[in-house]
Amino acid sequence: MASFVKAVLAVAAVLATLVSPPTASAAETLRINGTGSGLVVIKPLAEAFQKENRGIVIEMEKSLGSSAAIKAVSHHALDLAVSGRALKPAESAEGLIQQEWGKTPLAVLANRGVRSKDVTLKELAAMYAGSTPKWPGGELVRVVLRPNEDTDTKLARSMSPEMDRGLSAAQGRKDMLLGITDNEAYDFVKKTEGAVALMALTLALAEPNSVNVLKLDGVQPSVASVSSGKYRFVKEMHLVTRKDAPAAVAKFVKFLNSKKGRSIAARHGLHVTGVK
Amino acid sequence: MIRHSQSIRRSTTLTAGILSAVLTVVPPAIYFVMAFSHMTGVIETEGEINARVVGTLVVANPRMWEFEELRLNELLARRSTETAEKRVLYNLKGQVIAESSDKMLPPLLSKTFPVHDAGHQVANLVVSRSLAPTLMVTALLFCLGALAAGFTFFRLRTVPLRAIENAYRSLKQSEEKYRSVYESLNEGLALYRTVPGSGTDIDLVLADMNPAASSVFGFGRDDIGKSILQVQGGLFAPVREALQGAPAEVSLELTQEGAGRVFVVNAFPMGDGMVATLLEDVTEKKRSAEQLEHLAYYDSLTGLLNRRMLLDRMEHTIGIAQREGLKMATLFFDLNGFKPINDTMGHEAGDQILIEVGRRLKSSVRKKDTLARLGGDEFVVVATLDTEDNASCIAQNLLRKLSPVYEVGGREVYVGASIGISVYPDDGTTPETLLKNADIAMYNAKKPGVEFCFYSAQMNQKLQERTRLEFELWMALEREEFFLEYQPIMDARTGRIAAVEALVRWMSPEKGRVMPDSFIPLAEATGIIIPLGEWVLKTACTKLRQWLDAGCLPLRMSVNISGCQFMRSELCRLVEEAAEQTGVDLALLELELTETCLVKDVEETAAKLWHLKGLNVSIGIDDFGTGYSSLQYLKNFPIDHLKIDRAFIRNVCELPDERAIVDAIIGIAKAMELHVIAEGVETLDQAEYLAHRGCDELQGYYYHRPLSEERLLEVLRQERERFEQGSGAGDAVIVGAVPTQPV
Repeated sequence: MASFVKAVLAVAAVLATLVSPPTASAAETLRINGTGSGLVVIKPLAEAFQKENRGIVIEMEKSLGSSAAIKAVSHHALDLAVSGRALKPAESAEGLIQQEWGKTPLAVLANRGVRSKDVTLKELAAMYAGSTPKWPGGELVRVVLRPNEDTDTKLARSMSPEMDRGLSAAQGRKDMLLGITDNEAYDFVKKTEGAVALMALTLALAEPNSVNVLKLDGVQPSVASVSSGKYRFVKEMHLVTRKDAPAAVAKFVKFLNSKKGRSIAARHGLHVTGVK
Repeated sequence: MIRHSQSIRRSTTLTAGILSAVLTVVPPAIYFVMAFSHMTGVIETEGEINARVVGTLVVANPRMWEFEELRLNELLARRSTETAEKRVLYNLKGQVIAESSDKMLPPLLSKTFPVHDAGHQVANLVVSRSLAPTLMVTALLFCLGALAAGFTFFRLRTVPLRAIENAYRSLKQSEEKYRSVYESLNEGLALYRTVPGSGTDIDLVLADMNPAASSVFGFGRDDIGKSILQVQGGLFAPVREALQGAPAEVSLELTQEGAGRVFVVNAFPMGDGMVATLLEDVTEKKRSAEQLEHLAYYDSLTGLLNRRMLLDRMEHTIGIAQREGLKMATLFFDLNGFKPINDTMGHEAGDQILIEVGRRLKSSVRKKDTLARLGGDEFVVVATLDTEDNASCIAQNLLRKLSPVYEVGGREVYVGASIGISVYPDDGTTPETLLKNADIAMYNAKKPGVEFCFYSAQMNQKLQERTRLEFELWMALEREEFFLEYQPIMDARTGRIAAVEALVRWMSPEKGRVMPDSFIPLAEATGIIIPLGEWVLKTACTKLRQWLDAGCLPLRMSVNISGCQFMRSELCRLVEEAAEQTGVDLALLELELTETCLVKDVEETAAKLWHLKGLNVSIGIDDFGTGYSSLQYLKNFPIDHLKIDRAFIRNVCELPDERAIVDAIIGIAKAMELHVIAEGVETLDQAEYLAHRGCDELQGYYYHRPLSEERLLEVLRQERERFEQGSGAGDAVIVGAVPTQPV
């Protein structure tokens, strides 16, 4: 009973923070970090938010990744973490709270030198497995991997059994390109001839025309195809904060779920689903 | 030796142990050090690289990097090898920021690498690898090394030590063996150590001795350490002198004055500065040797040289004679009259005679001459001379010395000598030849009236003939070349054949028929007469038995017995054997002896004759009248008949003297109731006269020559037929009617 009361009080506090109006005199700093594919969406949103809330300064360092950002929030080093995954029970036990923000297509991104526009899941699995060494245009296929524990890797494995096997085979190869962070992996795709990776579409939209976004099984990855359900492979985005998070956090989260916030997010590849 | 053995054992064990320890420890140690070094190098390289990679992440986000656990883990998990490893990233507070760890067995080798940001250390990366695989391989190498070390230890220690122990055991056994020999030697063995003496001399210091040296030669344990000059009163000092500058063995004969002992010392270097002296007390040996030499070269009775020494001296003298162009006479003495003295007065008397003869001869010969006794009563004098006349002088001189009377056992006896002389180089050039020829000449000197005789070639020829004949006689006996002829002896009263005399003949393949006069004397001289007489007796008995079995009328068989045979053989046993083997009635056997047989040893002769008489054998005297014709033995001996010698019969009708002798013999015989036989009857007048004078039986060519067996049997058959036809002729004397076919 006591714990239940505590929980209610905590939620009330968070909600109070979210709904309280900003004050110009309060020069609050809101420290946000998280997955790279989320931050590229947060960045235009933060700029728009700060225009509306001059007393709030949003600081965004180089992307830490979901886990690091969640840990940082837990250690009060951040105020809000954009996570590509849901909280683990242990993380939840530390008093963190989360809400779903939205979904972005997990798109097949290829180097711009790759002339193909379309790829099937089967072909993609063969490329990961190494059985298809070249693109139809003749370029060598260079798969860019993510860490095995990374959310993107787990999502890719869940796409099909062939992809799971292909990824396992690719992980065993020594010649694979490995991008520790979203940005690093994106840079590999961008700069490496024949490179291909499964990454959030938000990254590609943050730097238009820097990479070749391929149709998967004939479906163009986009917010529309995701919202319509045609494009099945998505990466969910969560917002994680502490229960005692500053009010600016709630204010910013409210902005994210606002119409304007949704619109900006959609333009940058994120289909905001809101709190569930 | 034991000390050396233990030292070698310790050294070998130590060496083997060190090598084994090296083999056990060094390979795994080297491996471990190299593997450790390699691992350290790898860890340092990996750590450096990983620290830089982590540092890049830190620099990218210096404030938030500690929260990037996943990315850091991913960075830490980047490995260049499959080797299990543990990488832990600590912040400066020592908190674990990220970790990548494989399963590893302790212990771990860890290295810490600082992670910098803008020159400041912000974290520590600890990279660890397991030492377990390295330690396991090290342990495996250690085990393999231990096995190899064990084998090496065995090979290096056990095998050599076993070989050394075997060598020492063999050495010990050898030493014990030689020690036992050393201590059981009858000869004394003294060991000396050479030490530098005064100047260049060496001195010998007694080091050890065997028991014989102590017991026999008087060495004492106190003598050990003394100089050889001080031991035994310096008796062995000459050994020291002899060894100076003489590295080889020296042998000395030393005499211990006073004690009269003689030592032979053999000294020889043993190496290692030791000298062994082998001492042998040869006093007795020398004495024995001298005695043996004396026995070997001297006649024990007279002290004169024996044959062996004589031959040596002759060889020597021949050499001198050859060089100086001299002649050498060999005088071979044989004493006359010695044998009767020896036989009648005993051997002691004979020995005294020989000693005296030796003494007299010795006093007569010159110093440079050689006098020897060959054995029996034979002496030899060898003298160098200028002419053979000198030899005559020497012989005459020696004979003069020998001729004086000898006194033996209180009696005076006379001994003469016959001397045969051979002269070098005329009669031979070797001692053996000269001796043989002198011997031959000596036999020639045995003739009456001859005292000494020089050798001539004819003598040798006769001797050779005699030798050849002797050989032929032996061969004849073996080849059965002898045969018998039988001369009938007629009963003067009945004219019938009363007996036959068996006469031996020899049919030589080379010479043809040989008469007894040619070979019987030699057979007697050589002893062949013994087996020959035995053969005659047995053959005669066998034939008589055959004739009787064939139906002949009983007749006596007369067999001549040589004097030699009578004296030397076991005649009685022989007669018994002949009777037993042939089954002949011994009453039909007559043995004819010569008078000389009977007078030699009266007692033995009487015993033999009475023994024969006991066997029912008739005994007759052959050739009566030519010898002693002693009436004494006619009286004492069991004589059955007398056979008047043919010499008296030949002229019995013409010469009154002969006739008187024959009459006397017949008269004596009749008076003594002896049977009388006349041999050599060749005419009717002789037969009639003898029959008329009472001669019982007649034998001679007038009746029958000696007949072969076949012819005799024919004669006997004819006689039997004649008597069967005229059996009523009565007892008239038919001396003249019987001879039908005188041959």
